[in-house]
Amino acid sequence: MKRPSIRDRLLAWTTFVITLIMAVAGTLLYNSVKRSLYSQHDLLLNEAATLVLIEVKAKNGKVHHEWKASLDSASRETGKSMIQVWDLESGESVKSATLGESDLERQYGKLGERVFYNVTFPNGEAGRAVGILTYPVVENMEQNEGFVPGDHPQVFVWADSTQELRDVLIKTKRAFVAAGVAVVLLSAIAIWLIIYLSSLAVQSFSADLLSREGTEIGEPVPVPDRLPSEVAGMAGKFNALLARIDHYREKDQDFFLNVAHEVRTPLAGVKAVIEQALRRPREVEDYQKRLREALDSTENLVRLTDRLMEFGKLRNARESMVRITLDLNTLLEGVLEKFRSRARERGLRFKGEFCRKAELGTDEELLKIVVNNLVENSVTYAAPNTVIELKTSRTEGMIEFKIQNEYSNPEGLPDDLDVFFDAFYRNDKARDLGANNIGIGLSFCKEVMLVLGGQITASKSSAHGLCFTVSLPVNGHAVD
Amino acid sequence: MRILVLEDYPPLRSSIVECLVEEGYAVDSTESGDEGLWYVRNHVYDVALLDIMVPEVSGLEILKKLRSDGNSVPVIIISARDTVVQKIEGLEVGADDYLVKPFSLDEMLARVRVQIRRRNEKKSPLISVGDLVIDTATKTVQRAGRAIELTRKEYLLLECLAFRNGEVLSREDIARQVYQDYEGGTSNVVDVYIGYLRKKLHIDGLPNIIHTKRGHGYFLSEP
Repeated sequence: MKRPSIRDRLLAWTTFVITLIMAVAGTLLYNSVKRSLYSQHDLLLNEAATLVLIEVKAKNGKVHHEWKASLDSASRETGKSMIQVWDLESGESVKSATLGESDLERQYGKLGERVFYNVTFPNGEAGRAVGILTYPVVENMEQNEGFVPGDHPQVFVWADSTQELRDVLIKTKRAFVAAGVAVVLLSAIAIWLIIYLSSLAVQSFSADLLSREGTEIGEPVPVPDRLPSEVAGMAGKFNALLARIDHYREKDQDFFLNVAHEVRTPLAGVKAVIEQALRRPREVEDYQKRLREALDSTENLVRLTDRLMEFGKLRNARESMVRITLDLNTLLEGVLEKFRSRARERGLRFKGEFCRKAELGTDEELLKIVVNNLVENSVTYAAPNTVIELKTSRTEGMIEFKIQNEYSNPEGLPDDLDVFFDAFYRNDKARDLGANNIGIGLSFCKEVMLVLGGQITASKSSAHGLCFTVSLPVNGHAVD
Repeated sequence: MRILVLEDYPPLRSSIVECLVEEGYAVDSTESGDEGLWYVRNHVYDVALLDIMVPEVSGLEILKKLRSDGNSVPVIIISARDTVVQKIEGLEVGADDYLVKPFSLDEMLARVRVQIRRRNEKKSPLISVGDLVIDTATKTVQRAGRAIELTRKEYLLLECLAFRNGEVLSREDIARQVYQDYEGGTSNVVDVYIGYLRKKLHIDGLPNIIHTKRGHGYFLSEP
């Protein structure tokens, strides 16, 4: 899938927005110029019409059109202006010679009111006209006795070609479009340059990233000063992520080193026992004794590898979980029963405080692993002749199980209790494979709890008091 | 020669101890760091084999304490920790050698012998005292060019005197170095073995090479 490019998007969208702004602004400006030019044209039209209007006069009791002779001669030369005057009473009209057989369109308003409108001349040219309702001018009443101006309303229409005006507007429009295109192009180039220059640091940073070797994962990526703040922030987060990855890689590496270490010792035992057996001829019983010792060591190895396999399988355990409804108290009592005799040997006593309803939906086998480990650890490491306290409680949506005991190590508890969950951590760093203490029990529990959607934590209850708390969702689904 | 073995994995510890004993070394062994520290502080050893991950006090801690006490006993670390960093850490704390598990018992024995020679400032496995030549690698003895057959105990006793050429060793010192289960006392077993040795070395009228310092002990020197 082709990923969208921020640079391309930025360029496209900014260009689009500038084009839009230029188009709207240009149209508004053009219309304003157009209105202004037409308005000016109408003004001139009105002035000319007003001047000619007085040439519609009453002479000898008739309407006389003085304008016609002079206009016809002028129009013949220019052909630009045309006049037509209608006598509303007789319905007859007088018009410029240039009109020929054609008539102008007639529009008018109240007396003296100027009505402007567009017209088309007989030759097809566009023009602008003003229509005025008027009365003939009576200059000498004596010569026009009996002539009542109100009886001869005239509609005076003056029309002018607007071809020049249109030419100007077309030129203006072209200039606007050219200017708009130029602005858009220049803006796009400027934006592209800005983006390109700004992205140089990003490109160099990304080239640095690509050139990194697999072995350099843990090292933070150097963030150049010129890197934009937005990317620098992201780079910072990336470096934090690298640090986290490195931390987990180190943990994994430690885990494998520890595995190798734990395997080597029983292996060294097997090798030494066999080598020593073969150093000289021996009695059959002696050989058998040594073979048994080698077998014991290999069984330790088998146990260790089994646990490691289980540990590995947990990664896929979520898919194969069998969730049932079970009572934690019942499960706990079963586990306690299993360890009761061992606890008695060390003078340990269980003290339980169980809540009334401890039902939850979870995988019984996985939960049993956790509870088994915690109880076994307590029985193994609690100070002799002390009490191991167990408590279950129910809060909203969660079931909690606590197990608390006096820690037997005289050096006390480590400052960071999370080390208990590190694979191969042991309380006295001793190797005691014979007692099943391989050192991955709590690490295993942590993995199991992740699969079950709960969590396990360790806390200090006193200077030597150690408490493990297991929290599980009642319905078997993780709670945020 | 007395050796301390500190190793908490029982099958490995017992094999190492048995191998060393069969080679004629007197061996003390323990699985506990505390006990190991006590042994090495209260006894004289020719070599100490220390595991690092042992209960209570780690092998490295014991080594640090020994060196800060001024104890220069040769220490060979036996550990499953095999990274360069871990080896460097062990050697820098004061170990003389580092053996990674699993190892061959023959290699371990060879390294032990090297440490014993180094402790006694012998670069060659051959020790010469006058016309007496002891090959510590093959555990053979010659006097005036003639091979002398010795029992294991006789050889160990002679080697013990030869390493400390000219130095007077008390009966207890000799017994502690030679006998695996020596726990002190006034047994005359050392005197008996010295007698045997003198007889075997006194060939063709050659002069006595093992001398007695009355009230102190025995020493080996040219006639």
